[in-house]
Amino acid sequence: MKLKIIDVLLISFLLSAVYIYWLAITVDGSQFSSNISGQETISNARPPVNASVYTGYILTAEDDRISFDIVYLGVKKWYLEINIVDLATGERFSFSSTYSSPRSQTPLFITPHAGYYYYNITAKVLDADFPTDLRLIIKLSGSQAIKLEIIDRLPYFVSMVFIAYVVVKYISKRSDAVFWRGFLGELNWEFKTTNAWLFFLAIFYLYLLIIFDLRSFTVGDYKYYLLHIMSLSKVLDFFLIYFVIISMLVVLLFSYKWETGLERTDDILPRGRLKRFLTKYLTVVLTGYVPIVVLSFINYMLWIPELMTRRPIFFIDIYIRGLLYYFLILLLCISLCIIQAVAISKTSISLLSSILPGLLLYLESPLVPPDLYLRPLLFNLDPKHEYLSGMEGLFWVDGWRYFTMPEDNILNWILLHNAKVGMLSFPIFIIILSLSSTIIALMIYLIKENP
Amino acid sequence: MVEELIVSRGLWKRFGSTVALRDINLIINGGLHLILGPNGSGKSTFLKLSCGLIKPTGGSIYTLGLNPWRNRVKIIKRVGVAFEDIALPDWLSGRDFLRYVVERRRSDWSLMLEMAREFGVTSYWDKMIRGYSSGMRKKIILLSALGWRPEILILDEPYTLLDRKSIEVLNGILKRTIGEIGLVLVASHIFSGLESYVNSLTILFDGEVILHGSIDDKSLDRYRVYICRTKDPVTLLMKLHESGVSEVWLRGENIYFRGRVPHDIQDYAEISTILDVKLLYEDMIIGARERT
Repeated sequence: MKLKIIDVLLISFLLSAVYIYWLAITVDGSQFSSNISGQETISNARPPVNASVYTGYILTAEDDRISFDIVYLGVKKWYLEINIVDLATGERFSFSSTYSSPRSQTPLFITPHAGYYYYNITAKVLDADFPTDLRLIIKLSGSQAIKLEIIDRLPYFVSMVFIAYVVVKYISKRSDAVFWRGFLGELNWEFKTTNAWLFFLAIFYLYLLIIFDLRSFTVGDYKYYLLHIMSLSKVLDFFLIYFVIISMLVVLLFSYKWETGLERTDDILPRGRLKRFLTKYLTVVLTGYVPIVVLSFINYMLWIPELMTRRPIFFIDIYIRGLLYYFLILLLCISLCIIQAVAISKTSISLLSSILPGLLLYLESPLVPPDLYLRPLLFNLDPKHEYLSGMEGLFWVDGWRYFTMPEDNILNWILLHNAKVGMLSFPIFIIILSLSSTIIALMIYLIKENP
Repeated sequence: MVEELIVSRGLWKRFGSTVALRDINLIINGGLHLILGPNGSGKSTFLKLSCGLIKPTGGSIYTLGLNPWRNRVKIIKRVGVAFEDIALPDWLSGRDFLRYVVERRRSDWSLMLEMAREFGVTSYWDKMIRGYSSGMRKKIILLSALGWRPEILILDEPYTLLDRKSIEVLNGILKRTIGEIGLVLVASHIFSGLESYVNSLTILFDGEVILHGSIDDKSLDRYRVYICRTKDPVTLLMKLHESGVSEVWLRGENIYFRGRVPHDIQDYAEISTILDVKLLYEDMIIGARERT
């Protein structure tokens, strides 16, 4: 039996559904806790003492049990209030109590349904032997249940995959010419002549197995923590393999096609080289990016669909930041290999010269200036890491702070990023590097003879 | 007035230290034009220059009045090309490849289908190209050049790898095509069945034009070029002059001449090659007949 690309994609999506099902079951009983424990100390405190407010977010699923362990040392009597709001529905859960001992009775929040929750903990001193040393310690921890809602939504996901499959099959059966017309035809040509679709699958599985995650988590006051549901520690491993895959694809599309003569076949058809270059570039972008977009979207869709539908702007803001981060990484990967791939027509040499410099930068060779070490730069570029490294964990403010987190905009993030190469913020550096390397590669491609 | 479809003036092409073409001056008009010459004589290089795949090192070439290197896409839109070494995508079916060609050329699929049926390609074109024999691949390459209505058709070694039936089909298509389009330019070692259709001929040797003109049995009879080397060029030139040789030209270390050979030439020069155009032409046709 001969499998077509669309059949292989169908199988991949079905396998991903099985994998997601497995993940949803295996999280049962596993623990999670706040990455940051809130801790605040005021030495020699005197009245009036303002209320301490600690806020944060929880991504959680139905029946997860989240406990709030709060200790207030140095007080005789204190007031505790916990408010939890489902960001999608606005549903609010409150708890308040007055204590005469430092340790509160630990409230347990059993999540009614999956969602992205905002929590706000207020601790207020009612009585103490002033002046005194006050110390507030807050820790959130949780126990996960089977992700039943995700399992319940899987049949819808599978149905959508099947519908898409049937539609594509129907169109291709009616007329095979459709896939060869216009720009779609040019993309189809690049995908099939180099088997770029296999690289699409490689990145699909890479993201699914390394990044895709169904673990609940809680974190401090940073809403963008949601922007990629993944384990931070695995991101750098992911990017190493990702870079190698992207480099191989770029070499295939340029060097390999030149060496095998397929570029000459293109040259005797009325396709301008500028257009071909852009088609190839787009092929790399689609191959490297679409699996990430699709899988991260599936992740959100299965877990927090209410947030997507009821607060789309909030969701898109978060989602676009995550996608932008990956897009910059993709641009960086392409920039590191495209000139070699275009200039060198011998695949073996081109492959080595495209992959090795990137690896040397990534693995921090002594030959490379430390300013250009990719690993710390990529790590610092991650908005999650940026947040975690700069967060103190406790916020000393007056009153409630629902939705009053600093709203940094994306442009600022690009322009003023902490990670820098020389004087440039790392995102700006990637954009300049990408533009200049692409223009140089394009110039080489345009003037290259094809004997 | 006959249109000058391909014109080259003082055309040179070097690949590193190798001179592939030197000082080529040609005007190719309509009809069926043959380019002949032994291996490495520069036939394919000339064809690649004429459709803009490579850039001239010196001189100029114009196809349909355009500079091919700067106007490759404009020219290719009007010219059908089949080179001997065209690569086909192994992981595509022949049908998909030809579909892609038709869509890029915005031509009519029914015309391609008709020619594919003539060549007997439709019986296997749904299979992946990687499983094709070299002859099957050749037919797909020819169809990519023939399966639409170009103004000029450039075919590099179109007969090699084809069986007798396919050669007949190709000739049938070319016979129809010659009357319909401006120019059919064929570079080949073998050629059979279309002798009477040939309008003009170019013979290349070692990157040089040895003959360029119309085919005429009498002129071919007399056309014999000698290529020799000497350490005493003055004596050689005097002896050639005494023998009545009027056409002598120098290319690199070689001296070319046409006419009666002095009887004592071996005393002061060494003849390396004798190019008998008539023989070359007949070899090509007879060779082709023997092969088929």
